[in-house]
Amino acid sequence: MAHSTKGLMAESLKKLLNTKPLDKITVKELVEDCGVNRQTFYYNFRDIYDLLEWAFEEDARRILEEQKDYKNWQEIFWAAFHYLLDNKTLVLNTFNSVGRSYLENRLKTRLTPVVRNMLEQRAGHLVMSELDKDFIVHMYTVGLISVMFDWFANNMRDGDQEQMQMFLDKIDQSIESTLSGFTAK
Amino acid sequence: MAFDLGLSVKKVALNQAFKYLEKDPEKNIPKMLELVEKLDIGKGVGPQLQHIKKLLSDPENAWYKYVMSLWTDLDAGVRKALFENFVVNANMIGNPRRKEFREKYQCNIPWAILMDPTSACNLHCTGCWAAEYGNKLNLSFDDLDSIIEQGKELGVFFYIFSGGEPLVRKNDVIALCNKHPDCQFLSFTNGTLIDEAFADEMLRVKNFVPAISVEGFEEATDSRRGAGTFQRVMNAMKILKEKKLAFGVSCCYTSANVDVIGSEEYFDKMIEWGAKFCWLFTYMPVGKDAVPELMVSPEQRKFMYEQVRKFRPVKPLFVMDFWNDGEYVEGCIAGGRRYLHINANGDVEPCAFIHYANVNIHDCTLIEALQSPLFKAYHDGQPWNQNHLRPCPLLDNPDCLIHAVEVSGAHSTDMQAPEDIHDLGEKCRKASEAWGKTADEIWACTHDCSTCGAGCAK
Repeated sequence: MAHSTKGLMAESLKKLLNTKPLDKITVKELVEDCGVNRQTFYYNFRDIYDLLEWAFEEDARRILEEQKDYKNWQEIFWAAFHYLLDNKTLVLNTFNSVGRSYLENRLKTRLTPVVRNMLEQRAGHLVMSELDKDFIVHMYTVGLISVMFDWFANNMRDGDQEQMQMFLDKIDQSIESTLSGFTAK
Repeated sequence: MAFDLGLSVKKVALNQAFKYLEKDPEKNIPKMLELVEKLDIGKGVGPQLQHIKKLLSDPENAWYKYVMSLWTDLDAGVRKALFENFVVNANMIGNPRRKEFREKYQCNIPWAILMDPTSACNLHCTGCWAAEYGNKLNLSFDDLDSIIEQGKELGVFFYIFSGGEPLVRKNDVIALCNKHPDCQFLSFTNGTLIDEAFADEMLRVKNFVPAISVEGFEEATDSRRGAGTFQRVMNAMKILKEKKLAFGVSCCYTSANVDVIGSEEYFDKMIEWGAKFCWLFTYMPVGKDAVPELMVSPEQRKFMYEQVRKFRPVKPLFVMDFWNDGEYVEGCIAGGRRYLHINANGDVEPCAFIHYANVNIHDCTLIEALQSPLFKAYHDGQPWNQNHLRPCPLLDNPDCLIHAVEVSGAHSTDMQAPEDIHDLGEKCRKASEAWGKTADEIWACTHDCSTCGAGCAK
């Protein structure tokens, strides 16, 4: 029951985010929109940001659960990309009111395991310290996020996909040279 | 609120100190006390701090064991919330803020607010006034939330629920804890509604501590509160202990059970149950159906006074006796001086035991209530007695309360049968006079021989 109530509130938040930025949305209008009590909101969430976080986490979890159907990491990236594009208005309204760091952290949390998984597949046969792995994963993740942020800053315009695909391909190609300094087990 | 750079620096420093403490409490507690001293938190705690430093440097001392048990027995998140909400918010941020408003409005500003979410209770115990209120009255979530929002503005970060049984409204209680992570919440409770699921919610919000009513052992508890109650309470405490949640015990001592409540066996039992604190209340003959015979005699009250002082240095349990510990808080703490009470009807009363008020929170703001005539009378009359072992304006100084109620024009808030202040005062007169003699002797012996006529020349 609690789960579906939370889902109801998340739906309302997304609906409202299609009309106005996050910092203009009050708990009062949100609970009125989805027909729950104020105390039900606060039982589940501390504030609007807490709800937003939960809503994004839920969606991310769903996308990653479908991960097993994807052949490689690029497909996962594109799944995330299309999720963001499908929710364009609310993503931009979030981006414009909570700023960079919030979305950056969320994206980093979600993209890091994807990149790491990709690296493990390609470097499984090499001798690498955890420190080296962390560094390489961080480097590629931060690169991906900054490409996405350029896209946000361009109001998520259509046509940026081409440039992004180039970037993803470059990552794939550069992995070989990045890993060339490590010896085989 | 003006931004205080010094304050935020201190806050960051304290939170850092807490992290440092977490790594190795045994080694780092003495170091942190030095830091507290340097930061000069709560000016005027110097002498107490020296005392604390001394106690916490001796591994054999009960207080040392007590503080260390906060690390072994409590969930890390719960411990952090207690630290942030009590040390940082309620005192470091709250103290100066309350002082500012106390001066601005020339009235009491409390440290804690006691409020009743509901008059309803799932038990029907003999002699409990809550049972007589009926099950009709509730403060809504929005009422309670508004009181907390207003309270925080004034510097109040500690909220206590009573009733009724507050956990009849457990979802609203959790919602308030969740919405106000910067506040500490405590609830008086009969404990019977605490189960695994609720304990998990407590772990989620982290800032909720129950004070479970237990009045002795199985037979005494069940005869007053219904068969099986004691075992349900034991089960609740077992769950809380297993999940490393902080809780305490609340006891009402009467002429009938004082020997048990004040016994070493009972104190040891509370520690064994896992209680971190014990709040003691003496029986008050409040309401028309009260049983004055249950009031303790001067000898019995003195017994509790002595037992608590005997156990404090040797038992790792934080014990407070609200009628006998006035010497640590300069007498009566009610009327907003340290706390006030808002009942389920919204009446703003000076104390949980004083059912008189001028105003209702549904019609006024918190700061207006604090300036209402009865609260003013408390503000002007406190301390009611220079002997802080006689702190209570009702039990120990009934004429003081009669006067305060009369000059303020406050009305009885008793929901069943309004009680005339003179009738109530008379019920306490004999006990107050008898205790007065005993209390004056103890006070003279422990504070100032010159006021004592005994001539023992100690």
